[in-house]
Amino acid sequence: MEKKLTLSANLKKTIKLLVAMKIICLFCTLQVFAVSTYSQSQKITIHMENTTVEDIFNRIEDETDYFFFYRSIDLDKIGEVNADFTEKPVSEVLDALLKDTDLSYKVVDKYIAIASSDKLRREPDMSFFTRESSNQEKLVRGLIRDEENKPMPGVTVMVKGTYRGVVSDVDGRYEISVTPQDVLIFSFLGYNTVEELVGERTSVDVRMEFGVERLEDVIVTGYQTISRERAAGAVSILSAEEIQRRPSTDVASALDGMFTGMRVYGSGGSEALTIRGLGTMTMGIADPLVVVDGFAVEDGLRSINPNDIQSIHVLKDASAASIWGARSSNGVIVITTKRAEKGMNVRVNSFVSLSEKMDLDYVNPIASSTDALRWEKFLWDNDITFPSFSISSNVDGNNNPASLGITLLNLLDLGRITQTEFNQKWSELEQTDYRKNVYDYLLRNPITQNYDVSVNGASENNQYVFNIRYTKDKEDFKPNNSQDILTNFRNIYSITPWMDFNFSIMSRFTKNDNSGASLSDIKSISPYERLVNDDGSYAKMVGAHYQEFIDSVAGVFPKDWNYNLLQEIENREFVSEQNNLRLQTSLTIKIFKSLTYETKFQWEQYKTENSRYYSGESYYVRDQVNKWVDYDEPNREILKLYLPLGGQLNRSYGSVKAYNFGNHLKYNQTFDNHQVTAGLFTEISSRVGESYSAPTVYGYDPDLLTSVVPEVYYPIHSYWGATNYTLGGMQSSMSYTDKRFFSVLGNGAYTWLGKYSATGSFRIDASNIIVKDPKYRYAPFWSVGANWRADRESFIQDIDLISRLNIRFSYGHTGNVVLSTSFVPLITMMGVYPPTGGEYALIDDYGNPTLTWERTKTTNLGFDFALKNPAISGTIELYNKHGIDIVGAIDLPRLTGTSLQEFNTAEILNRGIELNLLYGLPITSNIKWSTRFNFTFNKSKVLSLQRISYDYNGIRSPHFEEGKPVDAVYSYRYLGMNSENVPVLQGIGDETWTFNQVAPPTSDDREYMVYSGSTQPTTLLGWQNVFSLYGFEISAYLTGEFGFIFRMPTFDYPILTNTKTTAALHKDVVDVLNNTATGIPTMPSETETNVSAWGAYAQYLHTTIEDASNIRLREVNLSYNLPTVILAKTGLSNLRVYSQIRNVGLLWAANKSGIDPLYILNSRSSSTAAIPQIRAVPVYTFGVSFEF
Amino acid sequence: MKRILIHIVTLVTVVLLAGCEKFLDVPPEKKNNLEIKTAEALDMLLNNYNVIFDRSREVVLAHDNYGIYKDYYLARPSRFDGQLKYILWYTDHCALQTYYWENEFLKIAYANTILATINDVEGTAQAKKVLIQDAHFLRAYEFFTLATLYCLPYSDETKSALGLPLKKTLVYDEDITRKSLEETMNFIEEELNLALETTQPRDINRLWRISLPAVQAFAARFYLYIHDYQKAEYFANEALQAHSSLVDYETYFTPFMRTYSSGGGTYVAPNAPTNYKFDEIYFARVLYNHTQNAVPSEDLLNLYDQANDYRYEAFIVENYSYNRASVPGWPAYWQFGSIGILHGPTTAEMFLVRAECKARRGDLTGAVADLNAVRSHRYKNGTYTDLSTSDFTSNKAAVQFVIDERRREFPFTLRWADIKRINSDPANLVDKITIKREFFESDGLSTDPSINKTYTLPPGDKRYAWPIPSIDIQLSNGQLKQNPYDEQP
Repeated sequence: MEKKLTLSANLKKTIKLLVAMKIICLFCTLQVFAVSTYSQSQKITIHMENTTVEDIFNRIEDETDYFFFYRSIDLDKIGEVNADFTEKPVSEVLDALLKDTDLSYKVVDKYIAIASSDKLRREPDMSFFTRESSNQEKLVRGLIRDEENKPMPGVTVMVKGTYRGVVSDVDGRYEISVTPQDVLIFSFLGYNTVEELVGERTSVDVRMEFGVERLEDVIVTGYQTISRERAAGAVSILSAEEIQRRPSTDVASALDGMFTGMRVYGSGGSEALTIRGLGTMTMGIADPLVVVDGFAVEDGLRSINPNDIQSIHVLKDASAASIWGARSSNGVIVITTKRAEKGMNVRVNSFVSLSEKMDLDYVNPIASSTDALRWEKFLWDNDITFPSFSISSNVDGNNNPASLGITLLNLLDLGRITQTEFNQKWSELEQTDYRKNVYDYLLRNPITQNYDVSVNGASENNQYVFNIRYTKDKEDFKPNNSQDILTNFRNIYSITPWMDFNFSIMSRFTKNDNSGASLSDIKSISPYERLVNDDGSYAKMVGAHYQEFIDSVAGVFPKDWNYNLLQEIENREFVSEQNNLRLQTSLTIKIFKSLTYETKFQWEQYKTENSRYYSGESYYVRDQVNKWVDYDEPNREILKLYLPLGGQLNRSYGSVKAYNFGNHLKYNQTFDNHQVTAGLFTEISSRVGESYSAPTVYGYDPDLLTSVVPEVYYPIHSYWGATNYTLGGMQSSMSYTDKRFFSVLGNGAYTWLGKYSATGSFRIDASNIIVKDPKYRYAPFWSVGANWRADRESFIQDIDLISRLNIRFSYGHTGNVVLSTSFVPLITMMGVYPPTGGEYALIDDYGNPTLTWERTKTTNLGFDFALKNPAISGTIELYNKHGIDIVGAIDLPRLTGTSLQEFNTAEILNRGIELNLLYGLPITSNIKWSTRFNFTFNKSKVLSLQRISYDYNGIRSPHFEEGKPVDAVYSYRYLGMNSENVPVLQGIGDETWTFNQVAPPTSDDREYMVYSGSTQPTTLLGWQNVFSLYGFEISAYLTGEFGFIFRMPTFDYPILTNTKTTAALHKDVVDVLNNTATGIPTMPSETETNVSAWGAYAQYLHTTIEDASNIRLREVNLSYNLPTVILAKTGLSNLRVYSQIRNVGLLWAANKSGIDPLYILNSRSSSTAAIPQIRAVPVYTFGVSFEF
Repeated sequence: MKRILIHIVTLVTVVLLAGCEKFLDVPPEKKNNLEIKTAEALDMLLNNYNVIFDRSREVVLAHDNYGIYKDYYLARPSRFDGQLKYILWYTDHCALQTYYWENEFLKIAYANTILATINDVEGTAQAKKVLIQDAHFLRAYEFFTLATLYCLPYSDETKSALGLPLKKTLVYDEDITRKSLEETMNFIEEELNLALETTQPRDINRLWRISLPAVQAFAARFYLYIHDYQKAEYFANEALQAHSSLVDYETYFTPFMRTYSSGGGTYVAPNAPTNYKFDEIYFARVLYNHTQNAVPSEDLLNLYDQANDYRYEAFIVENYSYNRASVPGWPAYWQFGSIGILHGPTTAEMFLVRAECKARRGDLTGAVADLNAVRSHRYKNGTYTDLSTSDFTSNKAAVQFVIDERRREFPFTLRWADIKRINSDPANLVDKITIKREFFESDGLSTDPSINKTYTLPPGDKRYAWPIPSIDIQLSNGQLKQNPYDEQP
């Protein structure tokens, strides 16, 4: 007990030290100080001789609730004193102690600040604190209420012209001493400030109204800001507080489940977003448009610091999005960055995230060593091989690799090892488990460190925000890591009262080291293969050749030919660097009071450089050097080397450069009952994407920067005499795209009586699609909307239950453009084909006579409501999103030269309901619960797509098909094994066929395959809960996805091929080997000759389809905000410590196999495209943020 | 100040609107998805080796040089499952395959692209003229190839039979009904005549492109097929006047011979790269033998002087089945790798066309000279003895010998068309051919090895016209008609 006390005393000292350092800062920044009217004078008795003032203060702190602020240097001047006080008020003690010094004190709540009198005098009205009220003053009380007549705690009440003030209590009440001449200023963030002259009143009650700029009440479309009550569109909003509650380095992962209608899938910065379902069939133009501070950016959500975001608005319907015209079909995400606050503010945020090592059993669900060897032996014994399979230790083109198991079997058959040796080695393999080595040598616990500092400030005519973030990631695979520095600087300068200049710059530098293993490296290790021998040396792993061959030519070829993955990692260096830059600038001129002109310009540049260096000792180089030689086999002599012996360097570059120049006229006027907002905009933009991969640098030495030019490029010969047209990597490849847009846009909103609003927009977009007649470049997009503020009607106001009701309707067109088709044929230049020496080209496209812009017609009906009691508010949206003229590949007779041609004839319908509910329950003043519930139902259907030929290959994976939802999937119907032990499938009609037969003859394989469902969920749930308990806050994020399917990976009957491993044997092989498999075929008979076909079917049986519905706990966050009273002592205005668990786990999944449908890992082919390869493991984050 | 600003705003807007067309005229890509603007670009399209001269997939399975062996089949049925429909002429199932059809029409689409855009592109009149002739040549060549597959043999009786849809433009709704076989052949001849206007000499560096000798050589092939022996001889002669080199096979291929081991055995095969400068070529075309396994029939094997003929030594790859099926003991035919077989007109073909025409009109001396020219370059060095006229007792015997020589020389490229023209030859000089196969009961999809069955394709059978792909018939809005067939057993 005693010890504990000492400890706490030490702690206190430390705090005090910090406090002492911060005190100046406190006094400098102290402008508004919340003062409690509570001030009980505590009495104290102290008898101390020859002691320091500091010790006396400590004693006072021990015996009372008071805390002291002071600089030690100030107190040192006093020297030793004697204290002799009995039952004296603290003020009297202090008066006595500081009597002969230039120091003075000030009591604020329970805090006593000691400083020079000068300093304190500058602070307002000491008399108030020392209760020396002047005669003219009187005590004024009052009640502060909000629009809904609810008491408002926490409102600042200041006496105008002074720094004096109080804060309203829990019940919205305040009291303050003032003179009749004083004016009280009531202010609260987000509300309009109220001023009241006190006069003869002793009670001043006020009612606060929402300020226009209150976040939830404005809609930011990127072109304009309009009050929500006038807007007709479907817009979801997220505030800074909500984003920053979920610490993350990327924005997308903080959006998950937060919006109705939006699906976020994927992880780790490569998230994909869809808003209200997929609306196009063209990959690469399916992402929502991202707008940052009024500019469409080309980098999506990537180069945005979540901590720098003020708000996110998601525009979902035509009325909101159509002003973005040709790029808005997939929805628009509008991001507004933080603005500066008055004075100078510094925010610091830092966190570290840790997670478990990747789960190999999940990531690579392969068979155990024993099972894998059993299967290999079965294949070997029964000669079940791919036709071209061969094992050869001769010098020829066929000395392809064989797995260790197959190698042993081959050696035994050839009599090169005895049965005893075989048995011993075989059982060694059986007892080896690759996982141990992989966990020890290749994997580690990922760690992310994130540091973020933001400084902002504002003066009368200048506002600035500066923000810098450093992130360091240590990734799953050793030694992969990445570092990232993201900086933002924004400045608004008022040149004159009617002219503002705005400038901002984002720069980002990222460096990734990817030298480590990759998942595919791990998947190419057999379960019984090891990375290191027992003595710690590198094990001989299976490389690109048969081991007997390598051993037989050891010493003959210039380089050692053995392979080891660890050695390879050490001998390579893969580095990728990104340099991103974004400049935004604008000039805003108020021409008249109601008319504003803005001209703005954005420049973006995203550069990537990739460098892959292989040292001369890497297998990559050794294998090439050995392979490309003239070899005299009889004399075992190398006659000629084609490749230099040293390292190799491959570099590639990519860049996106984009600019955007716009001119806007905005009009905003209110007459009596009329409110008009209108705008006219023109814009041009260009986005140039370039890539370049440089020819391989041979014989590269990274230290001396020397290289060697290979003597012969063409043709070169391999050791077994094969000829290659050119030396690998000698040709560089390049690409260049330039997307240009020109747009004119007008929009307007009119409101009458503050209740009835009509909105409209019209936009013309043109892009540089290839056309003969320029008129085809232009496409009009438009929208109309209406908003009825029903709660302002008297008959609604009479209903006690409803405090707010808003009914919205909108209709309009948004667009999307595909630049890769044209009315005319389009070709691609291919360069020179070395064998002919001729330059050649190919036809990409034979012409699209229906060419136009993809267009989405959206109808939206929305209701916003708020109830008085309980305080539930929410939004309901009903929508119909009909995409027409969608570019889709349709069937053509092959005599046209192609079987598929892109025509603008497809139609996609997405129809749905969105419900968003918010409820906040203040249980007591310090305990609150608030919850947000999102429900989305979206049904998609491909209405039109002129296809009649559906090939099994296409339809067993997600695809587009008329009459079916987007991403429909078909399967073979499995009917079990027949008497000859061959799996049977449903054929056309009543017919059946087996794995050993050719598929039923038809050009429409849907005739015999069964429809399994869609891989796009129909129903999304998001549920967030936030509990606040004094300074603590716990938030939890649940998401649910329902109404879709996934294909469960399973064993695919691989046969012997010339690969390092016998394919990846899925762990389900054990059920097949033991004949306990259900739903998939059992063991093939030993005479079965067509096992190679089994795998192709087995993966796509209807029995492998599972319901993908799931509910998961995405995140739990716990944070603690230090109370302001404690902070006051530190000089910080805010201190928050927080922790987070992300990817907490599945709470429920419809499938019973323990598979997380969002992170499916297939043994070989991924039948569910666009799904991440690595399951997200729980990530634990700990952080702290503070402001001053 | 404000007034000035308003002026600036107005000015900027006007300038923007005016400059906009120019701004948008910049094409969206370089390298890819380009509009065709120059004759050079069109020239590069015709250089596309992948489409134009590497992707021909004519029949290697349906004729009598292809062998189906019961034991080979039984050892690995799956190896043949996808091919039985061709081998046994099951037209319903063959109609589901599209690649023979689509690869030829792909080339026609390239030719049509040239002709559709040539007037709008930059380039000299001379360059355009060459391209136009090249395109017509391409169309003549491809429509002829298609006719030899999908139409009945050409004779007076079949003139009104179904020919081909004559796709001549890029317009998607062009008339694609099938014209009569006579109209089809007339169209090919018209295209051929346009191509014959070329004056391009044979250029060893551009053998895959038009030259007068190439068109002449093709004309010889065409007229031989429609039994116009006079014209065939004339054009063969013209082609040989321009170029008549023959390559000594042993000298050429021996350095490429390699031993491969596979499936527990070894085999020897030439590993020669496809050579677009091979000296016998008039027009470079390579058969893309996608099955990678042209199994020679017993009849074919017996036609060779197996000891001395280098074509047997090199191209008949014994034990190739180790590689393709892991079944020992069965041979395959390959020439340039397992996929490439020379298919365009060559000097050897022209010698043999001329020899046949000469023999038909009784010029045995001339025929024998042409035969010796070819054969002497095919035998191993020092083993060849010249044929003499006395080896042939009649014109018929000589013609028969030339036909057999064509089998030895072009076993998997020209044989199907040869059978068709012989069976429909009004001159009736050589024996008609009936293809016979001894195999098991099969419907082309599944096979019952317990029942033996003999399959025959007699002269005049409707199955000599391959079924056109059913998918195209489906997509043609009723324009395309399938070839009529008798009920299949």
